[in-house]
Amino acid sequence: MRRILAILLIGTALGVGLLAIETQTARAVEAGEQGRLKPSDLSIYNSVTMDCLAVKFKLGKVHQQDGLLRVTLGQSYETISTKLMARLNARVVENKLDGSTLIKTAAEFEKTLGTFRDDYRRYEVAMNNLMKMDCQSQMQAYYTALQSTRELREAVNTDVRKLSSLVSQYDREFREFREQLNAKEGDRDAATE
Amino acid sequence: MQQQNSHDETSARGARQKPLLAWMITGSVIVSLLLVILSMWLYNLSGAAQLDLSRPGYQDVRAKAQQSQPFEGFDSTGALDSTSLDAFENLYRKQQQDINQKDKRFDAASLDDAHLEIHVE
Repeated sequence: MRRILAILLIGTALGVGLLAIETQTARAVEAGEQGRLKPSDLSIYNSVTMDCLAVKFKLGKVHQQDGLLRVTLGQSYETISTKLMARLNARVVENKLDGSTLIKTAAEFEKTLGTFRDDYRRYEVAMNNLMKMDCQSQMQAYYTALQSTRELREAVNTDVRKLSSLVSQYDREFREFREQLNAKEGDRDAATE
Repeated sequence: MQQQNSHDETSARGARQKPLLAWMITGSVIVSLLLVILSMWLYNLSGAAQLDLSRPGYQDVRAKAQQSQPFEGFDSTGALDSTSLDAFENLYRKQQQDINQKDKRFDAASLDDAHLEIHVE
């Protein structure tokens, strides 16, 4: 019994240790790779000058604003998706009406929302690593990491623009759906008379 | 003789229980650590970390994220008449205006060289 317990505890301790080492290694590799100049980098800068403290301070402010924007936008998107689009679609189906375009756009919106969440997560991790990186002694590598972060931010911006366009598209389709419904009701009233 | 035997047995049991208790405590601590590592990994992987404004560094913007009014949304059951469609349209337009505000973007200007005062040659 004692032997089994001892083996179990040693195994658990080894597992915890391995997991911790793997996490640390993955983080170190990611942080190292982010700033490392790769052979494929075409833009090798001769000179990069910046006030590191000022840059990190501004990045911290941007990071804060981004966090707030992510939460407020996320709340709005969730509200539109779950409390408006999904409910209208359910009501359309319940009334046995044709809302196929509305359902398709709502599905596209949900898919893009998932992409937005994933892209933002990647961007935020990169931004966090950038704020922790050593800027003074590795200025060129820091600038390269900043370039990567900019690309990730642009991907998030693209997702936000696409989500806005889908919201507008759903609005247009809703208006078309409403016109069709009014037209059908008009025909029905005319037939009754 | 019997008293001597029972006394010896009690002592032996006590001697066995002490290291067992220590092993159990150590095991509990290790299992707790393991579960904490697992939950932190899930917290980061799931994206919940990005929504957590209670983290250090977000104190200036924490209060701004509070939702002022609860949003009931559109009812998912019932007939689709002009009243309900008008109600939906009003709710939808409000949300649409909210997300289309100019400042709600991840613009490139915030990270460009001019804004960060970086000089590259």
